[in-house]
Amino acid sequence: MTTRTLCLSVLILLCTAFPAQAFRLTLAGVVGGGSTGTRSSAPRRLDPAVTGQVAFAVALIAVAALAATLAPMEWDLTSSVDWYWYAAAAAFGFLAPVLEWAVGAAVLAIRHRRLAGIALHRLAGGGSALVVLAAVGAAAAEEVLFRGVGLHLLEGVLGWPAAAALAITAVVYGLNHLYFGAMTVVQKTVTGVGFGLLYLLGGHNVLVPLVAHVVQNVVVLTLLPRRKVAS
Amino acid sequence: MTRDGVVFTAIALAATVVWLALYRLPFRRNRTRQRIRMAVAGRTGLPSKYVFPVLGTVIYLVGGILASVVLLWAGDLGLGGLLAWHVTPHSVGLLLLTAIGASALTAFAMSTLYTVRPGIDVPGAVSSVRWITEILALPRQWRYAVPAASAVVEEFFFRGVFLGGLLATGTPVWAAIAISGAAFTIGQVLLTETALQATVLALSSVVLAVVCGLLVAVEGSVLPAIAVHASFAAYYTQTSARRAAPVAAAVPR
Repeated sequence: MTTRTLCLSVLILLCTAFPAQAFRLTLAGVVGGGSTGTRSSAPRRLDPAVTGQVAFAVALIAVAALAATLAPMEWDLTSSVDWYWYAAAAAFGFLAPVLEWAVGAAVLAIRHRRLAGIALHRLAGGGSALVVLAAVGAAAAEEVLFRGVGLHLLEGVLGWPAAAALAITAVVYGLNHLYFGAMTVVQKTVTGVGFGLLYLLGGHNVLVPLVAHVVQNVVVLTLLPRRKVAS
Repeated sequence: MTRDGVVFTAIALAATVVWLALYRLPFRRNRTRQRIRMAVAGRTGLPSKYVFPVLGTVIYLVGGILASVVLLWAGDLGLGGLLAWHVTPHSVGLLLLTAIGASALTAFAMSTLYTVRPGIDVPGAVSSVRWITEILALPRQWRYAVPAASAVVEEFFFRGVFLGGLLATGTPVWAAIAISGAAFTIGQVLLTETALQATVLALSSVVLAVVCGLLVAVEGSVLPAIAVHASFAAYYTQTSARRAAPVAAAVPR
């Protein structure tokens, strides 16, 4: 590997590591401002406006597309993957919300507190079709960024051991949810390990974890009960 | 690291120290500041509140250019070699991604700071750094130009001649980025007054040093790194001023 390839890989890994926080905060300041009317006491960045969710997804997709084009790698989405990996991915997507809830409950149990029933985070978007569509787009972008580019560059190009690459991408993926609080970081790190395993075991095709992630986001936004917004 | 590399590092560090000392030391005492302000304002007709913003900027820019000339000579570097940038769709895309990445990493670092210490006021801390307060005293259009110009000179010095000179002596890329980045970060920290200012500027300096350093190593030119740093500096000086309490942007007397 040339020094240029090495530097390019590290640069792309760093620049795509934490897009979420910057976009959430910037967009909450830009598009969230006008629509907070009824809850003017709440900080502006907590605004769950539909426009914010859509703009967030568009920004994330743009960065994913840029990184996927620039990264020193070949994209092969047609590599044959046994059908049962897609089935496993869909099943993991269905189970992921339960898994995240269980992780949250376990963390709280250690602190002798009990978690309320499974429910959507209060910062998550509304239930409109646009928000679901934005969540699907964001899921696809995140898989391209963290598994397609991140995990591949670490494991395939930089030659890290698979376990180390899996662990670091899962933690970075988790930390991208800092906006939702420390608990979400732990929960997302656990599902990040799941997505990474699907990528590594399912033939290094990003479509496998992408299916899981899309299923998870759709399940979360359409099936889960909503918690009352804290006022 | 070769002998040449060690010698070049020593010269570069000395040039950095002289540059920052020229900028910082003559105006430390309030009495001296007052005398200089009166003298310059009296002779040039410049409004006295603009004396230090203008004088400080001129000294900083000229000092940086002189330090760069010294390193160009010491490292036997060609200006053309440092600046020549082969523009392709890939290189423009990488410039864009690096600019996004620098902001994203800084935003993440600041969010982590907020998570650890929820009560802090980062925009307030940034806009109360003395050189930023001085810049904010300038008329509106200059508030973009001055941070951007300083960033151009800083980038040309630290990622252009400093980093380029180290690479020319055969120093490994990681060591060259670490040495020039450490000098840049320490320089920025020395221009602050409080612990929070130092932390915030150190974090963003490390981010810039690493991503711009890698960008220079990939592109073989300092021009895209200059563009990233200049846009970053202009943007953050502005947003910090807008988000901070209005008191912080008051004219220093």
